[in-house]
Amino acid sequence: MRAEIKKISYYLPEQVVTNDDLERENPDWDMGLVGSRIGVLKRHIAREDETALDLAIKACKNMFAEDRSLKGLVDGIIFCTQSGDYILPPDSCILHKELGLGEDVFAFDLNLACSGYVYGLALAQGLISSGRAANILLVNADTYSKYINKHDRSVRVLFGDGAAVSWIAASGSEKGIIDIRCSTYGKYYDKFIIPAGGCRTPRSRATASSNTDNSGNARTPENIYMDGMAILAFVNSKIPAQINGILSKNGLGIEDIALFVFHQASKPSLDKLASLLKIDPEKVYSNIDRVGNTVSASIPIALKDAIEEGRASAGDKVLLSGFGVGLSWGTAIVNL
Amino acid sequence: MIDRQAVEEAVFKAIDSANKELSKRERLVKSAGTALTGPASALDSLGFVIFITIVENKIKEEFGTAITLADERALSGDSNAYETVGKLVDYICLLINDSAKGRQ
Repeated sequence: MRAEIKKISYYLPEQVVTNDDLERENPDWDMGLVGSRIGVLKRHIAREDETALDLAIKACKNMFAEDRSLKGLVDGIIFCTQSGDYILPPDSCILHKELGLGEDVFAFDLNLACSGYVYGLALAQGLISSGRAANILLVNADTYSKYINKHDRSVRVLFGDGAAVSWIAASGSEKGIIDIRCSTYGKYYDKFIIPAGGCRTPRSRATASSNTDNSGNARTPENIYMDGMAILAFVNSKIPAQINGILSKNGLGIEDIALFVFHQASKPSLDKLASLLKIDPEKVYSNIDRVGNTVSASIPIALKDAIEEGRASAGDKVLLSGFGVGLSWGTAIVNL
Repeated sequence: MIDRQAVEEAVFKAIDSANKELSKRERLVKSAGTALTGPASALDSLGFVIFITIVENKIKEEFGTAITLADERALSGDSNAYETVGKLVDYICLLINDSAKGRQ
């Protein structure tokens, strides 16, 4: 039994922060050309009192409003986030309450970042193919803006907040997930990290203290730290091999894929993947200019936009690939 | 073997282009000793990614060779190939020569 992506809805916070806004706030950032080079011109940012769960509730309610039969069909929720409302309970349980779902509906959280959509698809596919479920809500929501120091250009430029929900359903046809591959490179876990705030290094007065580096970026150990060069190197060295491997295993080539929807990490990473894999840039979808990097929500948001723009349609094979924190990465081939 | 001086000139041209895009604090001096990574570097990780993207494009334009500077060596951090402009030039020469051998 295949699992198919039946429908996607997403919600982006109302507040939009443009590169001009960032430069007004930080006059020494010179955002003019940096924005176009990195590819992000604006991003949606959650209000101080708005969480990833709030965004997810709105995305799910939008989907339920579009398809009134869905609520009664849901067997489970997989909620991928690193921006939970609480240390415990998981967001998925609160979402279950907010959506008014029944007691037989399972709900659990998945703590992954930019690979989280593909990993979520793999879990949903497993539950569906084993007969454990027929309809799953795969929710991807994050508000990294709450972890980013406002004076750290190296990450603030890149990330936006957002939530997406995908209805993953048992498919009675050729439609659906053809194959998925998931990988991990834990050796370099510290290349993309929030060092303090967990049980290993609890928050303290010391972890709240900010340091400014040579390039003028400020952060505390409670903020996101990303080694951009290492992450780009990880993407360049690991993702093409995984993509070529999964294509080859399924007897497919680059030319068989109608559209490549990569995690919207940054323009340099998308350009480099296209170049290394020898993909016609026209077949690589990107909406990073207007959304930014929305972590695990970026692939479903991009896929929905691509379908709505007519870049992919029923019957097309699309390749989805997500990569980031962990380091973790995953690739799926899907027959739309 | 690639002409090292030609590669250095290409990297200096890339520095000129990058300096138009980098913030004042990050602007690079056209010198072999200019630090690109580590505590002495003025580039943040975003600036560094922008710089190496410009360098890769410049090398492709000048020598017709597509190279990838952000590779597994950059991930491990064990390599000092990116520490200074001079070491970067040496590394680019190595990549171009490797690429030429691969084509033979």
